[in-house]
This record gives sequence, C-alpha cells and structure tokens, in this order.
Amino acid sequence: MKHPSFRTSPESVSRRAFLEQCGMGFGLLGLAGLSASASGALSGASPLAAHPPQYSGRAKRVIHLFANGGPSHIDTFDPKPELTRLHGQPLGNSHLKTERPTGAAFGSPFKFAKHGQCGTEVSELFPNVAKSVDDMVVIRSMQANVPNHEPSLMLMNCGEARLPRPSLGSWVNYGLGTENQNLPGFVTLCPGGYPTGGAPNWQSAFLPGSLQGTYIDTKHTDVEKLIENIRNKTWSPTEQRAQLDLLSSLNRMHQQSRQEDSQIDSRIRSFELAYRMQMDATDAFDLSKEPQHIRDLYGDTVYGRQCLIARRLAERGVRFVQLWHAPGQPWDSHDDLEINHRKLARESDQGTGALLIDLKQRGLLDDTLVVWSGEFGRTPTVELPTPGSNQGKINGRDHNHWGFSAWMAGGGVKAGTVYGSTDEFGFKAAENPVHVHDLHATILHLLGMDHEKLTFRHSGRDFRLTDVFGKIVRDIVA
Amino acid sequence: MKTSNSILPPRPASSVSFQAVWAASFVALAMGAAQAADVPPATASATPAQVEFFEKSVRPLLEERCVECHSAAKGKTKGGLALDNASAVRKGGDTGPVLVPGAPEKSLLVKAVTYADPDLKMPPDNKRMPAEQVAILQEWVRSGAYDPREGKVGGADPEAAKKHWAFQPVQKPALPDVRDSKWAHTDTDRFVLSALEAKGIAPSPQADRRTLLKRLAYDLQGLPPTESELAAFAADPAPDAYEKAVDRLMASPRFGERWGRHWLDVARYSDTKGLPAPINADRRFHFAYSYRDYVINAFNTDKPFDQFIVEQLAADLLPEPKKPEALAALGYLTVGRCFQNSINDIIDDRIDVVTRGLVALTVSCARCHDHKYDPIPTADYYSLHGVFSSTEEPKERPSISTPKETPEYQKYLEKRNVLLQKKEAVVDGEVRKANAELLKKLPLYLIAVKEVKVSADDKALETMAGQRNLIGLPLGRWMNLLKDGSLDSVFGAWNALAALPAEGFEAQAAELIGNWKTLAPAGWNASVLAALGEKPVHALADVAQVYGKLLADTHAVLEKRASGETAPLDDPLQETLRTKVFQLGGAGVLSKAEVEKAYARNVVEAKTKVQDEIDVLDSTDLSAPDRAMVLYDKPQPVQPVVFVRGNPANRGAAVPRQFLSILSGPERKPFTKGSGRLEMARAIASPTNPLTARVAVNRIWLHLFGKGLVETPNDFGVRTLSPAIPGVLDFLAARFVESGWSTKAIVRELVLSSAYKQSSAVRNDALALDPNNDLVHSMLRRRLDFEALRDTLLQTAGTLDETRGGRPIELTKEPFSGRRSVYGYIDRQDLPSMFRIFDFANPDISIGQRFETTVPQQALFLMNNGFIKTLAESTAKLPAVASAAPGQERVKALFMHVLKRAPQSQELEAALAMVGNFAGQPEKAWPALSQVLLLTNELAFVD
Repeated sequence: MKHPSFRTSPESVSRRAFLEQCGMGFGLLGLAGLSASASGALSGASPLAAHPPQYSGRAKRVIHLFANGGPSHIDTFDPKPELTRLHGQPLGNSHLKTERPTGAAFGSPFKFAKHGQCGTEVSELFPNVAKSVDDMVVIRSMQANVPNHEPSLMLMNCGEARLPRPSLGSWVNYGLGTENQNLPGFVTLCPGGYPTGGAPNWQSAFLPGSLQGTYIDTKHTDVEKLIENIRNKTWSPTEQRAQLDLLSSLNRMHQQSRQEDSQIDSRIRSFELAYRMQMDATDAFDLSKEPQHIRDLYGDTVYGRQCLIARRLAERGVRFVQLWHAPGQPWDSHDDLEINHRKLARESDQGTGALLIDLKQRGLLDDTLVVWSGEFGRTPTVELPTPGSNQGKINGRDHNHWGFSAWMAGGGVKAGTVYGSTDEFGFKAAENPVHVHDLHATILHLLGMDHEKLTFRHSGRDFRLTDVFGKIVRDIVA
Repeated sequence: MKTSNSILPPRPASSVSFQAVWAASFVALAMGAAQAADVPPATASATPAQVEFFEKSVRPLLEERCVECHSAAKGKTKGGLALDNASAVRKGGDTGPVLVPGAPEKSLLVKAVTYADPDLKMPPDNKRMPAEQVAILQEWVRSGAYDPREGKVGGADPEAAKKHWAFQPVQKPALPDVRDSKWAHTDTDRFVLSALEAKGIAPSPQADRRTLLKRLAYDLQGLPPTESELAAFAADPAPDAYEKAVDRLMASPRFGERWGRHWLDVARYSDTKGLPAPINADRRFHFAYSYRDYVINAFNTDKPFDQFIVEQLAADLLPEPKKPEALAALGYLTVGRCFQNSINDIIDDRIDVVTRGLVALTVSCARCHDHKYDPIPTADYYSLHGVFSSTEEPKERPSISTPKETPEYQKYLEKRNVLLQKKEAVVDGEVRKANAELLKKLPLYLIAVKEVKVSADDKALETMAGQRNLIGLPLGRWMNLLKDGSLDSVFGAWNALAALPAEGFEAQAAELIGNWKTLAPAGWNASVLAALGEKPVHALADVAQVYGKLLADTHAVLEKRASGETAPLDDPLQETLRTKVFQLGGAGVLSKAEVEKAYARNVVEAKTKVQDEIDVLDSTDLSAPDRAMVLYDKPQPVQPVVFVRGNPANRGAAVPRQFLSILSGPERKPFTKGSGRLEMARAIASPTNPLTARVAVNRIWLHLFGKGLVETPNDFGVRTLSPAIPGVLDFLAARFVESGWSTKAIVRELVLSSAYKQSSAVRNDALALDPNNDLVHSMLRRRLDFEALRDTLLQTAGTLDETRGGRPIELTKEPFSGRRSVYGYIDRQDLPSMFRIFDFANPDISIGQRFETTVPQQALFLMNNGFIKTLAESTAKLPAVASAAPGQERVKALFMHVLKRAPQSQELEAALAMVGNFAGQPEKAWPALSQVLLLTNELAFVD
C-alpha cells in the first residue's frame, strides 16, 4: 500500500492516489476533500488528514469510556425488581451458558431511582452520571457473542473476536482523518498499564500504523512521560528551533531540483507539525491550565483526571478518545460484587458525570458522542464456587454476553430515552436486541459514515468494521 | 472470512460458546439438505394451475419480499442464497437447499418466513410477512415449487475465471523489436522500451553515477555506499564498473539481510505468539530467530527458490540425507499468531501465508463460502485445512546445530537436566497435591453421594462435583462403593445414618448408634461403631467427619510403611479401607494419569512453566544449540470435512487432502503421503504452476522499482489486471525457472537494465501519457523504510554492529543496540511505536508491500528520541569529524561524512549560523548540527 510518486499536481493527486489505494475510492471522498488538500493546508501522504464524512452526521468526535471487565447491568442501568423479589431462589436459566456455573437469583444490593425529566432509572452507584440521563440513551439490550474477556474486548473494540482487525477508533480516523494535525487522531488513556488484551484493543491491523491508538499512561501527571518523544531533553526550544530552521533550509535546497514530489514536501512539513505538536500536546495534557472549579468538578482522582484530559483532547479536535478504567479487567466482580462495584463506581462516577456536564456547558456535547460500555454484563444469578477461578464467596456474578447495558450521550443520539430491554431477570436481551455490530454501525452512522461503505481492500476483500453484520439502530438516532 | 447470511441472524460463526448453542440449528439445516438432494427438478411437467399460481402470486411475492437481498442477477446473495431464478433456488444457500418440494414443513424457506425458529427469521428485522403471504409460499412448496425462471446460480463463474491471465501457463514470450536497440541493454529493457515506444514515450536519461551507486547499495544491501566507494565508482572509467559494483554488493552478506527482511514481511515474522493460552503462559517464540537466520542465509546463498519453498513447507518430509539446518525453514508455517491455541484460526493463518505468500491467492476468503471472485470453492479450503490439521508441533523443538564440547556447554547440559527432572517432578507434585486434597475432602464426598441426584455414569456428574469443589471421578467411585447398602461392614453404618431425614436427625441417630452398641448388625466392623459412639453426632456432617478420621488414620499408616498400599494390613477395618479406598482404582486415590486428566489445566500450566524455563535456557545460553520451530505430520492424517459457513460444529461433506483445483489441471489427485504437505509444496514449487514464479519475480520487481508489475503482490486473483508492460512478467518468470529459480539472477538482470538506471526526475510530458508510471518511463524516488533508515543512521554514527544472526535484540532498550534492524525483537502483541510509526510491516498478516506514510510522530522520534541523541553525539565524535578544525572545516567534514558531499556555500553559511547559536558550547553545537544532517531529506530519500 505504498503510495506511488505522482508528480503532476503535487498534493491533491497523490493524496487521492493514497486514498484510492486505501480503498476509499470516490465514494467516501468528495471534491471537498480534494480541494481541502489542494489548498496545501494538509500533509499530502498523511492518512490522518481531515476529510468530510460521507454524509452529514451530528457527531464529530467520540469519547469512549470503557468499563473493562464487564460491569453488571443489573446493578447499574437495568433495574430488575422481579429478581430482587426472587432473591435466593432458583431461576430457570440453565439453558444460557456463561463462563462458569451460577446458582440462585441474586437481587441487586443497590437501590434504583428515577432521574431527570425522562425518568430513566439508574442505580445509586452513579448519582452523578444520573444527572445527565436527559442527554443520553440507555441501551438495555446489548448482546455480544461469548462470555470471555479477550474475545469480547476485541469484539467491542474491533468488531471481531480473534483475528487481527482495525479498531473502531482506527476506522473512524481512517474515514474522517482528524481535525488537529498537531495531536494524534486516536488517543487511548489507561492508567498504569494495559487493559486485558493489550495494545490490540486499539490496533490498526491492516490500516496504516499511524491510525492506531496512541497509548497514554495517565498514571503520570508529567507530560513528558505521557507522550513519547514529546519533549527534547537536550535542546532548549530556541536551540531546537535553530536546528529545525537549518533543517528546513537544507531540505528546501534539496527540494529545488526535485519539485513536484509530494513525499518530499510532506516530510518537510512533518517536522514543522511535530514542532507545533510538542507545544499543543503539552498544552492539551496540562491540567493546571484548568480553573479550580473545573478541576473540582471532575475530582482529584485518576479517573477524573482522565475525563478532564478527554475533554481537553476532544475540544482540540482529537477524533477518538478511549478511556479505560484501569489496567486488566477491574469491573470483573466474580466475588464481592457489592464491594467492588461500589468502589469502581465511586472511582468513576464523579469524573464521568462531570465530563457530561462540562461538555454540555461548553456546547460540545452536541457534536461529541460519549459512549459508555463494558465488553459484556453480568449474570442475574450468583456465581458458584469453581476451584481455582474465584474465591468461592458466592457473592458475585459471572460474565454475561446475552444481555447487558451501554449508554451513549450527545452526538445526535435520541436523548432522554431507554432502548430495548432484557428479560424480567436481566439474563438476556429480550426486546430490540442491539448486537455490538449494531452499536458500531450506529456509532459510524452518527459520525456520518455508512458502515457498509467504509471499507478497505486487503487480501482481496473489502473489509469493514461490522464485517457482514450490523444494522443501524435508527430508533436511538435523534 | 465471513459473509452475510440471510437464513441466520448475524453472529460470527467462530465463537466458542456460540457453536454449542447453534449446533442444533445447523444440524437441522444439514438434514434439510440431505432430504432435498434427490428431489427432481421442480419445473418438470407443470400444470396450468401451477403456472398461474406462480405467476400471479409467487413471482410477485418473491420479487417484493426476498429478491432485494437474494438476487444472483444483482450479485447480492446474502447467505449465499439467490431467489431470483430456479437453479439458484434449487441450489439453496450456504447451508444447503432451502426447500423440499412437496414438503413445506421440511423447507427452511417456510420455516424462516413463519418465524417459527427464533434464530431463523426472514425477512429480518421485524419485516415479517403477513399470514396470507406465508400461506402463498407454503402452498407453492406444497404443490411442488414450480419455478420457470431462468438464470445463473450466481457467484464466481468458474469457467470465465479459468481464463484469467494469471491462471494461464507461463509462456516465454519472444523479445519484442525496439527502435532504440542501444538503450535496450538487457532483455528486460526490450519489453520496457517496446511498451514505451508504443506510446511514443522516450525513456528517462540515466541517473548520475553517485545516484546510481546509492540506489544500488540501498536496493541490494539496505545501507548507503561509503564516501570512498562513491568516489571510486564515480571515477572508475572501466566499462564494467557498474557490473563490478553490482557483483560486489550482491556478494556481501548484507544482501541476505536486506532481501531476507522483504521475505520476513511476507512470512509475518514475529518473535512472539500473540495472546497465549493459558493467558499467563510465556508469550515468546524462543526460536523464531532460527527461521529468520535461515531466510537471510537462503538469500545470501541464493538457495533455489523452489527448494526454498519446499523446505519452508515440508523440510521435515524431505528424503535423506536430512539437513538439520533446513528444519528451521518450517518457521514459515509456525511463526504466526497462536490465537490462544484456537486451532482453526491457526490453520487459517497457515493457509493464508502459504496461499497469499507463495501463489498470491486469497484462499482464506473461502473459509466460510466459495470465493466471491476467484475459482476457489470452500471444498478447496478444507482440502488444505486437512493438510494442516494433519500436522502437529512437538513440545520440544529439535536442535539444528552441533554445539562445541566446551565446559560451558557441559554446564548448560547440567542446567537443562535439572530442569527436565523438575518438569517430571511437577507432575508428581500435582499428583501429591491432588491426593492430599482428595483425602482432606473425603467427608465432603460422602455427603455429596447422598445429595447429588445423578448416577455415577452420568455426564453431568463432573459439573455437579465441580459445583461442590469436588472431582467427578472419585465421586463416582464413592457412589459405586456405597451402593452395597447396609451389608457393607464399614459403610453400612454410614448408609443407615445417611438414610435418616435431616429433621430430627440428632435424636434418631443417637438412638440408632445406641442400639448398635448392644446389637450390631451382622458383619459390621466394631471399630467403626466404636468411633461413632465416641461423641454425639448432631448432623450427618459429623458422621462424615468420623469416617474422614478413620480414613485419614488408615492413610497415615499406609504412608508410613515401605510397602504403602500394596500389602495387607492387620487391622480388619484398615485392611477393608486399604482395599476398597486406597488401592489404585479406589475411591480415595487418584493415579498419575487420572490427575493429569482431572487437573489437566493445572498439570499443563505447571509443565508449561518449566518448559518455558527450558526454552529460556535453550534460547539464552550462549553455548546452547539453535533449535527449529518445526511441525511434523501426525501419525494418522486427518480426514477433512467442510465446515459449513466456517463453523466447525457444522460438519459438511468430506473432502480429500489435495491441492487447489484451479492450479491442478485435469489430473488432480488426492495427496497420498501423510498430511500431503510435501506434495502440496511440490505442487506450489513447480515450473508448471502458473503463479509461483510470476508471484516471486513480481516481488523482486517491486523491491527494485518501488511498485510491482502487478500492484497487489499478494493477490493475483481475477480482479487483478495483467501488467501494463506486455510480456515482461512472463519473460522474467520463465527466466527465473530456467536459471534454476535463482533470485540473484533476476535481481541482477533487473539492476543491470537501462530501465533501472533511469533518473527519477519528474517528466510532465511522459506523465501525460503514462500518468501512473506503469510503463516505468522513469524511476521512482523512494523514502528509506524503517530498517534502511535506522541502519543508515547507525552506520553514519559509526556505531553499526554488523554481527550476523542469532537471538533477537530489543531495539528500543537502552543502551541502544547497534545491530542491524533485521535482528530486532519483534513483539507482535506490543510492537514498540518506533516500528509502527515508521510503517513496519504488520507482523500479524502476510504483507506484500508496506505502507509509506508521513506523520509528525516520525519527526518527533527523530527530533527527540534518546536513540537519535546518542547517534548525533557519536557522529560528532567520529575522528573524521572531530579532527577537523571547529568552524568551516568541521562543517565540511560533517557534510562529507553524513551526506557524502561537500556543502554548497549557502549550506555552509546556514550551518555555521546554526552552530553560532551554541557559542562557547562546542559539546552541544556539533551534535546539534550532526542531528540536523541525520534528519535531512537528502539522507532519507533515494533518488
């Protein structure tokens, strides 16, 4: 997929050639895209150059809050009074296989209450998130394929359980480029290490490597440690400027006899972009620039800090920000569900609620799509002891891919609504099931892209995020 | 690769638990197929009523409700099903026929529209047909499904596909006539020039000698020529100076490092396996490097490419004399992702690397359905699947080098022996642990026998046991043991007490035990009764504890004596427990084999852990021999079957292990020897295979000209255009075979051509006629790829370490290695960003051509990374630089060293100005200038 040297009309043609080779062809890229690059504003051979969507979508960017490990829908966004009533009694659910054996009904230890004008019920775990229910659609009928973390994480991120496929964030950047060339277009935040499955969660697979998520370890507060190569430890800014000025003039002299080669020009420009990126990225991650009341709103926690970084990146035009709760799979509560979920919700509720309110007060929520999900939910029945795989406390829940909840806010979703439902116990999606592929199709739709047309030819096939699946859930689009 | 399926709702076909759930519906579909197979064509002898019914009711209904997604004419056949013509309807979809004429109740079509099966609803998404429409279809099928519509079944047309240019035999074309025969230096030039002349384009002038040598050195070695080489070449008047340079560059071992790396892209080379299973197992391939070194060596020795192929696919099956070093070639198959040991994904990866890598066909597209474009039926995929499912990888990999008998080697062997013993010992350890746990839990087993309501041979026993933290096997044995009821001398009392209801247990048990003191049932063991009488029992669990103690005491006695459980004991109770419980096969003991089965996960994990230690020792100890990542044929080859829609739970027709039909000709025969791997290899590495040689020479062309004659090097399928320059691909393919499959011969042929020697200057006149430069009217300017850039920077800084081969080196770790990039450690699970941002080949899939992107992250790396800093400092300290007087002289020296030329006056001025910023800080000034030169486009591009 190398872009050949096209020399007729330096910028536009080579970029078009690149995009064509990337399989985007003319369908995706209108004349507007060509003239934007012909104006010389963008790097010729960068796959990240911004281009307009296929059709106009409400959302321009995505913040994906990933509650990795599988948060329990029954204890958060999907109240099940019937389950509470039958607490301790056997339920007829043996036909649904999950990862491990489970036993009797396990009513939620948490209280639910109606919130907002829409009256969507949310559990006591998320008092701050609940303040924004009027801006979100809660999907209570999510479905995935298997009750195991790795394949389900890959499915939620890449639309495929095991084979290497580009992640949602890579596809979105492939389709739209990014608005701020001084920052990566796809940033993934996780404090202190990788979530289960590691870097493949934000892989670009067969798409160009620059479309892969840039991992940032938000454990650090020091910008230098946050972004690789962002600061020079040897030269002062003035010294580096002098270096780049010389580099630029040497490169221009070299270019004189090599006119009309977009690769040469792109590389010259990339150093200037990099120089500006050093400042912009530093600025984007410098939370000391936020006023005290905003920092208080988000709270002085790692998660709160991540949410605030996410907002700063979003407002600077980063196309896709993914925010993980913690390394591994923290929400995975096979034992001590009540204690763990309380702790995890406490860690994330304030920051998440603040993010929604803050985006809204800045007018950013209109065109920013915030998505919250895990890779699956949890069983309404209590997990039984299994040697070697839990502590045998009989107070947790097993994985459940048959039904779980996710919510989306802003970005053109039908606000203040609940979509779909699980059965009376919360075991399986019953009404209007939304498979992960459907969620992906809908997210792309909200961004102005047709999931069946956002394709990339590789190995003789036109690949897409949703493979051969996925249907847009039009009822949740405003 | 999956495709849409209209019969089933959208779900991947490869997920684990899903298979179990869906198996039932797939079986149902398969049965439908069997029943429909011998039904006569539906069009036979139609009655006027049938015709009228079809035209009036059925045809409009199908048009309105079905054909939108199921049309062969429109090419949209979801689930492989078309409903717009009779043949297509008869053929059915991916899951077989959809209707059984005369039997609507057996027809999937009817089943789907009635929404009877929750997983089989058509039309989908609640667009359910009203009852009267359903009735029409039911009636249509009942009355024989008359269908007069003509049309093709749809999908790839195999006959037309066979005519695709790339499937035709290679025929060496005659050399075309050209006008400018002086320019046409080589045979290749005749083809290029003829095509250019046909379009009225003149070739570009020859590049200058310095440019030529630089181009040549990068293409052949991946490193720049030195200053003195450039000067010597520029000044050499000999007519064969260029040819000598070619020969010199190709003779260097650097050639294999450069060209081997190209091949490693195709081979999706990595030193790690991706997510392993179990998840915490070692993630490294400790011996992948032996494959990498094999590849480099193969290019350096110009191993005939057909032999190269055969060794990579079947080195273990080659006839004597065996060459152990060739075994490393099998890494081509084994260095792929391990997909958490998901065998069908591993096989898919191997089919993919073999077919795209060697014959440029996307065979893995046929995993779930016939290839959409190319003549590759699913049956062919599973024929190859059978080849790979008939192979296995040994736990311990064979050594392929003979180590020197040194004291260090002896030490290594000792360490290894200790580990081997440890590996055996871990199993014994697991056996001891399992038996100790069993002994401790014996009271729980007794209770479980009472409570678990399944028989000993029930499959559910294991699960029931698992829910109690017990093991099924001993539980079953306890069940059988306690069956004897009240007659049993030891357990009679248990059975009697266990029969008591929980309510009022204490009183009734006390009464029973009391009675037994005075009148024990005949044959009951007195010690048991005595033990029961010692303390009051409140619940059955207390009784179980009493038995537990008797068992534990007996076990302790057995443990203490030398003869263990093999010889009789004096005490009658203990003797009974010995024979019934503790002898091998008894309910209180697990044999080694039984533990290995019941605790398979623990045993495997424990063994794997030690095997990992052995692998680490083998791969890090410098005196250890190299090992090969081999695979072998299983003792019995596997009979492959088609997995319908790629779902292993849905087994379709059996197929022979054999080669692809499109490449086999009429005499296609099933493989007969073992897995058939060697036969497959020979079929690929055959001069009559129309693709192998073409694909190979296209790759060579690509790496020399920057763009393949066929632009998709891993896909020569029917959608691929034949090369714009007529004849040249076939000519080179034929010459390749004639030369004994010599890569170097083709490389030499191409670099000696006038076409290759052209300037890369842009010519707008020529571009007007040849806008994509498909005819090679000039050379393409190319940017250094990741390896060439890094190696060049190292060489310029004087820190390149040209040690060859061996274990991989982490390139991003400080202190930074000076080894060539091809020897870097490739971790596919977490590839360092340095590789990614410089467009390194994705190590997960076979890559024929890399991306070439320009992003600011590359610039940031070059500006700020510590690696570049050390290189800039080393460069400034090189004697050739540091010895020059600071100021003009040193600037000149730096230019000469880095860019191999003197600075122009403007450049000199600008450089001096920059150095001036560091007045009084020479220790900063010269590294700063060095870095700038290392970052220049002049260094990064090859004209």
